[in-house]
Amino acid sequence: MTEIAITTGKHAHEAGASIGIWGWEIPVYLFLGGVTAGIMVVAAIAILQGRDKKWPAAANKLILWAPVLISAGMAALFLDLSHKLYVWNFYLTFQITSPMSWGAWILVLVYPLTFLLILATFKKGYPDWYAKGESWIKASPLGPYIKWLYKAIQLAEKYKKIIAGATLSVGVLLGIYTGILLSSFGARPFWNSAILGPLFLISGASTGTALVVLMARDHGERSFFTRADLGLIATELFILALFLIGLASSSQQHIEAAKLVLGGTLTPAFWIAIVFIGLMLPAFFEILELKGREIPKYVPPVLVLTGGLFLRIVFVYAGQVSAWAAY
Amino acid sequence: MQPKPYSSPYVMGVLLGLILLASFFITGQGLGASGAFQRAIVAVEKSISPEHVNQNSYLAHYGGGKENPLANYLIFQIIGVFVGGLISGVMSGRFRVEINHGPQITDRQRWLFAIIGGAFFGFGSKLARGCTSGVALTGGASLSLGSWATMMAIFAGAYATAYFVRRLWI
Repeated sequence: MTEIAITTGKHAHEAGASIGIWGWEIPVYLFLGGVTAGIMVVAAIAILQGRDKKWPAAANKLILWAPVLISAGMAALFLDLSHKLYVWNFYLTFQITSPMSWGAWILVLVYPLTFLLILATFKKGYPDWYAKGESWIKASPLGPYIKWLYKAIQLAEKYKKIIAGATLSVGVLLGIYTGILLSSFGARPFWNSAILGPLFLISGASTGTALVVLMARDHGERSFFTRADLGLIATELFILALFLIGLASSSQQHIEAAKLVLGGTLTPAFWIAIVFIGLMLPAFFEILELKGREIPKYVPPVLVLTGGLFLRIVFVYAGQVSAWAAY
Repeated sequence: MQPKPYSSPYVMGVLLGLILLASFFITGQGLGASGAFQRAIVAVEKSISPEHVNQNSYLAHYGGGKENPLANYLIFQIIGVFVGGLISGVMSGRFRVEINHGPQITDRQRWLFAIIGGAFFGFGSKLARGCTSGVALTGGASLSLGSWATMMAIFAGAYATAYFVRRLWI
């Protein structure tokens, strides 16, 4: 008999107690990051296609919420950091093999790009707020410098499409990164799937589209984005199926990880919260709406957003429960 | 969209009985409402002070130690009630925010009395070991004597007090 002794960190005292090391902060951050990615992608596409008349909410209103939501997400992320005072160390280096380093730099790019797009679209998207802000600045000591703001707006409007192109790329990177952040951590079999990047990107795009449906007043715009969201939900269901097939046809540890949601403890959360409430139910309402039935306009998008949050909560938790060695 | 008229309560009563039968058949348990709220409260208490839940045998029964108070059939049944209500409301054009009350009281009074009444009923349901769904409906269907006594008491209590709170509704 050959005996192999394996010693891991899990043999340490109370190792099990630290398994739930990520609480609510990381899922909330990943969700808000995903929504921001979705906003950037959808708004950039609307601008690049020159649809600001046909899709006024997507082209002019949506982008304002990108820096707001990503800031809320980063606040949640910051709360999770153990060494909060050293956060700036992220920005003294770039580690090409580290998704965290990629993420830190992608997040930095989100702000200037979305601010420039806001400059270019705010006047059209929020004319009342623009007028109020303009008269407030004129009355303040900053008044004489308002011409610089006009100049910046003019420049942003001139190069709007170039900025939108860059925003689209960074939005896609941000969306994929929120999934890759988990999948690159090989020690957790449930996360160890490259399809998590596309899954989180599509989910982010779906939540971004849901926001447009919430904001849109124009019937044509709402019905176009409802149809788009339906396509994204179908794609997300397809990727989720591939994800499960991938896990279930891999090594024994991956099969055990898949069992968490295929009969194990997280089965109800996965199937009820993500698949049923977050994907199938809004899809059902969206199909009815497209068929001409009157559905309260905020029900499907709110369900989609809730489903997006559940997806991150269940995935972050399931990953932490799954392990290579039973203990 | 004009709201669809409500379904016949007699037909729905029969359907509710069949749902109870299906629940027994599929899950081996009946229906329940107060149990789910009880478990949700234990889950909140446990997140604040697990020691308190573990030391109190009544609370520990619902989710002491490593047991998750929310890992129970009733929780999912209540989620189903909310989702089913959502689907039904949306499909029949009745989904909106509203507060129903009699003409003589305000929204705030309605909330106040609803909370007071709910607290009384919650307390009573714990004394009777269940509410209208768990004890009266489920226990009544299995011809449990205690359940029938509880059901009679619920109706008797309602008839006895309705006169005094009639101004809330008429």
